[in-house]
This record gives sequence, C-alpha cells and structure tokens, in this order.
Amino acid sequence: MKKRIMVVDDAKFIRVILTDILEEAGYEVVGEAENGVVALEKYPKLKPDLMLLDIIMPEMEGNVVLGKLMKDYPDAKVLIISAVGQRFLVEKALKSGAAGYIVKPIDPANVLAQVEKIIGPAIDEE
Amino acid sequence: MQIDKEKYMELFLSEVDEQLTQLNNLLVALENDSKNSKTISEIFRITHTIKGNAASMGFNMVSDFAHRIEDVFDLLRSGKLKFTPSVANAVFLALDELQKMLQQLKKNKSEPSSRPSGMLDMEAVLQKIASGEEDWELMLRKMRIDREAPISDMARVPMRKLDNAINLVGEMLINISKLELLNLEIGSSRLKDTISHLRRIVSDFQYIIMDIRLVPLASIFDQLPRMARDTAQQEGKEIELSISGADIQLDSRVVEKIKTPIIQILRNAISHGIEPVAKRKKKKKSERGLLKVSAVREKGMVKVSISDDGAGIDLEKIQKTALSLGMATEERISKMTDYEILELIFEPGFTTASSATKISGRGVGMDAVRTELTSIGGTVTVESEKDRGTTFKIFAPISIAIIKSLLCTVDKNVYAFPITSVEAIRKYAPSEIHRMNGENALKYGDELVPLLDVADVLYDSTTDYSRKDEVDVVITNVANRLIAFSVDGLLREDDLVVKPIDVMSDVRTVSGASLLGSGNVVLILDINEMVRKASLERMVTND
Repeated sequence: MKKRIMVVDDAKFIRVILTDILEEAGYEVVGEAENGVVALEKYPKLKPDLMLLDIIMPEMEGNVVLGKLMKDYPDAKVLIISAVGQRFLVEKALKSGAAGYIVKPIDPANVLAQVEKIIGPAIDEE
Repeated sequence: MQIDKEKYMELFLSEVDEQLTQLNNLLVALENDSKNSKTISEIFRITHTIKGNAASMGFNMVSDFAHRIEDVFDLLRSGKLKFTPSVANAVFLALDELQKMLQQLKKNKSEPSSRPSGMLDMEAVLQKIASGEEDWELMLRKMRIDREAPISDMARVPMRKLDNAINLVGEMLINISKLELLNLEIGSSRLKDTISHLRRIVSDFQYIIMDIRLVPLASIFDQLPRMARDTAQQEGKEIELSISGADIQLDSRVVEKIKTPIIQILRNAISHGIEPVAKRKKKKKSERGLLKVSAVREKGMVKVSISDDGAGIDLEKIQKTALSLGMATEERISKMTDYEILELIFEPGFTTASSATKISGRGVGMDAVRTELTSIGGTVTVESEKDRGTTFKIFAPISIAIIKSLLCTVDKNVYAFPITSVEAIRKYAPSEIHRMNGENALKYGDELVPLLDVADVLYDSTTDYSRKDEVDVVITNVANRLIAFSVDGLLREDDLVVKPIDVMSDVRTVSGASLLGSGNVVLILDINEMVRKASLERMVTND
C-alpha cells in the first residue's frame, strides 16, 4: 500500500508542485486544502499518514490547525512548510507537535528526505 | 536541486496575476478603511505567498521585491506604521513595478540579468519606509513612474487560433447547408440522416469552441477599483464604487470591445458626474459619490449598467452645444423631447474638444463608444436626471463570431436581423398601418410602434403599402425601444458566421456579412444605425 499524504497550502502553485514531487516518488496524495478550516474538515475523512501544512494561510493559520489537530488526533503526523524568516513560528510548531519542517523555496530532494524521515519510503516493503 | 521551472511557469504566472489583482483591490479597500486589520493581514499573506512561490521558481528579484512589500505590511500589521495616503501610493507603485517584471517574465521566461531601475528605486523607497526613514516621500515624488494601470492579458491561447477555429466551423456549416441543398435534388433519405447527424456534431463542436472563447467580465471589472481610485485622486473627488456581475462570461472579443467604453464612461462619471465634496454637502448628498457598475444577462445579451449619483447631464448645455455646432436648427431643437436631446451626445461631431469641455466632457467619445458597440450588434443608452445622477447602459451580445439571425428578403437580396434584437414577427394588412405626423406606425399589443421599411432606409425609396396585399413585419427591440420594420419576405432563422467586411466599413447600417449554403451573401443589419439613419432623414425632411 502506498503511503497517503495530504497537502495544505493556500497557493495552488505550491500544492501542485508538492503533489508532483510526492507522486513521482510513489506516494499517494489523497487530498488538498487551501486553508486551515478546509484542512480540519477533510482530515478525519481522509485519515492520511502525513499532512504537509503551510503556516501563513487565510481563514485559519497553520499553527492553529496544528494545535487543534494534535488535540483531537494525537497520533497525527504533520510536516510544516514555512518560508525563510519564520524561525520563531517553526519553533512554536515543533513544540506543538509537528514532526518536522521544510523551508520554501521548495527543494524536491529535501521535501522527500523529510517526508521519508517521518513516514518512511512511499511503499513499505513486505 | 530545483524544481522544473518550465513545467510550472504557466501556473506560477497565472496565480501571480490573480494575486496582483487581489492586492490592488485590497489596497483600494484599505484606503477607505485604513485600520482594517483583516485587510492588512490579507495583503501581508498574499505578498508572502508571492515571495514563496517566486523563490521556488528561482525568481529572486520578484521574491526579494515581494519581501520588501511584505516588510511594510508586517509593520502595518503590528501597528508600528500608519497606512497614510503616501504609503498607499508607494505600495501601488510597487505593485506596478511587480506587474512590469511579470510581463517580462511572460515574454522572456526568465528574469533580466540586472534589476530594472524602476524596481531598484522602488526597493529603496520600501526599505526606507520599513526602516522608519523620513525622506522617502520626496524620492517617490521624484520617481515619475508611468502611472497607467497595467493591462493584464487574460487569454492564455492566442485568439488568432480560436478565430481560425470558429471560421472553419463557419465553413463547415455553410458546406452542410450546401449538402442539404444538393440532397433536395437527389432526395436520398439516408443521405439526409447523415447530413443531419453531421450538423449536430458540428454544432456541438461550435458550442465547444464558443465556450473556450468565453472569459469572465472580471477581466475588466477587476481593474476598475484601481482605475477609479486613481481618477478620483487626480480629480480630488471622494468616491465609493460597487461592482457586481463580474462572473458573467462573454466571448473574449466582445470583452475586448466593451472594455474601453466601460472604462471611459466610468472615468467620465468620476470626472464630470460626481460633484466635489463641498458641492455635494450643499446638496445634502453623502460626501462620497456613489458609483455602481453591474452586469446582468438579458435575452442572449449582457447589460452593463454604469451609474453615478452625481449632478446629471445638463440638457440645456447639450442643446446650446448642438445649436452652436449647427447639428440642428433652433426650431427642431426646441421640439425635441428630453430623450432626443440626450441622444445628441451620441451624434458624430458632438465630440469636438471645445464642446466636450463646455458640456463638462460628457460627450467625449460617446459617438465612438456607440459606433464601437453597434459594430458588434450592441448599443449604449443613457438616462440622466438633474442632481440625481446618470446611468449608462451598455448592451453587448455574448458572442460576435456567430450570430443567430432572422433572414428576410428585401429587393431580392437577403438581409439578417440579429435574433437578440427581434421581439416578434407579424403579418399586417395595409389598412392596419396608420399615418401619424408623416410617419408610419402600427399597433403591437397595446402599443403604437413606429414602422420603417428596410428598403426605404437602405435605398432611400418610399414604399407604398396600399399596393400590397399584406406586409411582413419584424418588430425589433433595441434597449427597450420597439421599432417595426417591414420587409418583402421572411425566410428562416439561421446561425450566421460573421465575416469581417472592410469594403463596407463606411456603410453603417450593416454590421457584418455572412455566406449562405447557396453561396449568396447575407448582410447583417445594424438596427440602431437603421433607426438613426431613418430619423436623421426625417429631421431633414421635416425641417
């Protein structure tokens, strides 16, 4: 079974790029969300192995999403996507339970390395 | 390792296009409500997103520049900086620089080797604002950057290609009609089935191509807040603009045609319709002039209304100007209804520079505006009330490539009425045609409708209805005015693919031409111009 990932970012551009990177590596992107509210709505239905989560978003920011998610689903795995210059926000996210973070600009090799570190390769060897 | 730039270029550019439009509109909103923290956060977030996206594409100039704007909004967000009109101007100019850079990216697919000077200057200004230095306002004034609002090109496919496609569909439809005519001689029922099947396929194909050509009115409307804001600022007026119907879709050629008229009318409304604040206070009006741009679909057409609550158009001034320009005699003008007087602003020649200023510029290019619109089967009308305001209504067809038409014969030629302007077709007995003040009229429902003969208007002849047994009449409705036209015979409805006709461009009564399966040429009538020509002739004979 392929590992299932959800991508949350307000920029379609970033969602498309991340999806391409993940799917090329064999992961399955099971859902996207363009803001925090939609992300929280979709999470319980999709039950992904990992959520890639942007911090600065409309409606509900990533840090709020992370807090709510960890409270309701303590096992949830979240990889934060942040831009340069948000060290403070990243540290806060890590303290709230994020499993890791990547920094924009998106570097495909780094994205895959971080993802693999948290949930392992795209397909588990039997 | 970097992402594949080429693969994501289109997506990146189209998203930034949207983001810039959003930013412009949010900034206009912020100017009206400078402490709105939600708007400030939203602007911060969007510039932040642009920064991240550009960095991922390796466009460091764009990314750094967005970062500078983000810094300014970070300060605004935390309350360390106030959103003054000068800050607003600086940010608007910064967005223009960003837009210019994007146009370059679209063309060259890469950033230039060094930062353009406008961008460098602007970066310096933004940096000074962010670091709390004082002398940036002077710098901004010295910069003299071209203030024209950027034009964003919405079509991602060259229109020429879609024009070719629709033209070929037209050729197919003509040839299907030819086949149908041939089969009338042959009389094969199997061939008939195949032909009608083919017609269905081609008309589906036609629908698909027409659909691709559609773009939302947002491509015009999104530019209006910024344009209105700039015009109001130049004129020292206070305004509030509301917009609706931006999601209505039209053929991109139509959108192209109505863009200038809409912008021109809105500009005029701000410059000449809306009164200065002091005057509005005296009239007990709200300090801000209210402007409304709205679009609705109406019978296969789109109606765009542009209204203001300003001073209204001065009818006396129009009369005086028309008189001084020798457009009509004093006697004729004194007999005119208010409607007819207002209509004078659409007359050619009413647009000379001197008259434009005399009637507070309302007439600027109105003749050109109407000509542009009637050339695509639309029109523009105006209503105005002293001190209450003015409303212009632009009517335009959804598509101009293919016009659903009613075909009729006039003097052995085939002419077409655009279906969008046809209200009804009727047969009348000559005895039902009344003479009123030297004009023909007939009853349609409860209304007495003026009757014109197509041949009379086109060839300056005079029809004698009493010599006919019955008269075929097309009742037209243009901008809610009913006018009846008599023709020699009615043929059928047909989809006409409009061919450009340069030779006829000075014949205003005809807006285009098309070919029939028989190979005959059909001329498409411009109803507005027909009515105008007829009433001009009447004015001459009456005088």
